[in-house]
Amino acid sequence: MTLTLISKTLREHRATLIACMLALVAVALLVTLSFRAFGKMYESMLSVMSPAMMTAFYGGTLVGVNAANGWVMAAFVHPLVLLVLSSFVIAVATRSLAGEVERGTIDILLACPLARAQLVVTAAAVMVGGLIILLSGLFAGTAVGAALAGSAREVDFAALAWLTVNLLALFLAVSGYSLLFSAINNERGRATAWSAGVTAGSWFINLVAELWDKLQPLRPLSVFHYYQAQPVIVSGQPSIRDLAILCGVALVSFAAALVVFRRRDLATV
Amino acid sequence: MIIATSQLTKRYGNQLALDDLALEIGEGEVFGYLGPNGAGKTTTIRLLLGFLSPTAGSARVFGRDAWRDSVSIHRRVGYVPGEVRLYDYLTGAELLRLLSRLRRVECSAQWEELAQRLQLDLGKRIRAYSRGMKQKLGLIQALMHQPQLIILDESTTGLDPLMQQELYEILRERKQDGATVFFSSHNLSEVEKLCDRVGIVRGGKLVALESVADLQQRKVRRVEVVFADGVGGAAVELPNATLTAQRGRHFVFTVRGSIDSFVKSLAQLAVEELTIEPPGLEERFFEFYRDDA
Repeated sequence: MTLTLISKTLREHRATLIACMLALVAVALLVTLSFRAFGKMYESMLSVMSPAMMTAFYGGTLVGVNAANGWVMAAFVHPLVLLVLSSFVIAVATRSLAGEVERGTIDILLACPLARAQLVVTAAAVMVGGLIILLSGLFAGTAVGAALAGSAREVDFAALAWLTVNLLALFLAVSGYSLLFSAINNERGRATAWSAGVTAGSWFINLVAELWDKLQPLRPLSVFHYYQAQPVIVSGQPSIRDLAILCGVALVSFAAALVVFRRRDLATV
Repeated sequence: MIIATSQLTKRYGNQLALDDLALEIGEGEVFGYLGPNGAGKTTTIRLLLGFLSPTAGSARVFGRDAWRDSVSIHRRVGYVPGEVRLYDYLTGAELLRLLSRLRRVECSAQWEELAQRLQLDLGKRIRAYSRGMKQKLGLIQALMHQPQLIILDESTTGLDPLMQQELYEILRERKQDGATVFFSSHNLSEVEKLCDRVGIVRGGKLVALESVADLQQRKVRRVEVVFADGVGGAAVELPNATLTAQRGRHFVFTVRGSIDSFVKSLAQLAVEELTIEPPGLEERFFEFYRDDA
């Protein structure tokens, strides 16, 4: 990994990073600010949601969770937030390896004295760095929104910080397998389709399995199964097992991407 | 040896792209690598650069294994792909700065000089460059760090004739400085102008390996002659020539090797019209392939 490679990769994703940051901050602000208008309806809103539906989205029922905490959690499980974070990591992962091969720019890049591993590690570093920036934005947006909505005193920010760590671990796992798909493929579109398909499928399985018992055995296969907001907020700490599994998926996928990309033939498309 | 391959073979599934290539290229040599599209030229180059792993055999560059030691080899190599594809959001200068930083070599003076010689504006975004301009930028990035081995994969395509001449001149200068040039092309005439030795590849196999001097002895030209009445019979006996077509007084010959004796003999006859063409590329390749097959 070199600083030059990192700065090149960051430049390529600068616009995406800024757009994703704005989107996350906007969602965080909108969700938390809406507490002022709809917070009083929290209990009645819970009464119309089935426990299974709550568990599907939050990892547990919100009954007993104070209104402010329940409200901010919505920003952290919001499909738009998950979509934005997925888009960012998939964009970086697929452009960095499969995208370079597809465009043919890999020839010029690897004609320099660069190890292939440097490209993989650089992409991973940019994804991790980008995720930390984006999640900091999500957290900060939530904190600012809660303060503006007047609910900041009731929000457990320590628990929210742990939830942010859990969300980081989730998207490290998504980054890992996306990078692996990118390392395998010659075409960015195919790598994107594989990554997006696995992520969407994984989210869908986790959601539907809670509502349909027959799919329950598949739930542990979903990375989203290891990101449960409610238990983290209620207990004030993340599940070490969930974090370990997500980080394990990330590490194994990164390692596999490294091995595959170092050994594969690079024929331009 | 700067490049040495032994039994170098590459298969893509069932398709044999390169078969048992044995090649040795010494320091300061300009080596022409000729063959039609799909013959295995680019596969050879990608094996030499460590972009592909050999199915069998070995490729060594500067005495090191091209696959395992590609990073250290690339410090001393400049490469221009057949189709130069670059980061089009950068300007020419930004790209060269990026690549020189990745190489950890300060070479701005060299790239400026090369840009001047090749008449390239480095201030423009690459997306605004024409194909020829991209080709020039590809050449500059390959030459700017004074590599000891320059690998060009059909790199004159897209350059106008003046720029081609300038490139040949630059390569001759680099040769004088001791650099080795591996020059892949499907254009025989440019290889003749530039190279010391030529390898011809066909269907993944090296079918000829010879000096340019020997190659020139085997040149084939197409000659069309319209004779005055009554000399048709004598024309059939012209030296080094094979009659390939005849329509009335209009004769078409294939002349192999020196054309001198052919022209001198022709001068004894009454000629109305004479056209001497360099033969088409396919015809030349066909000649080589037929002889070596």
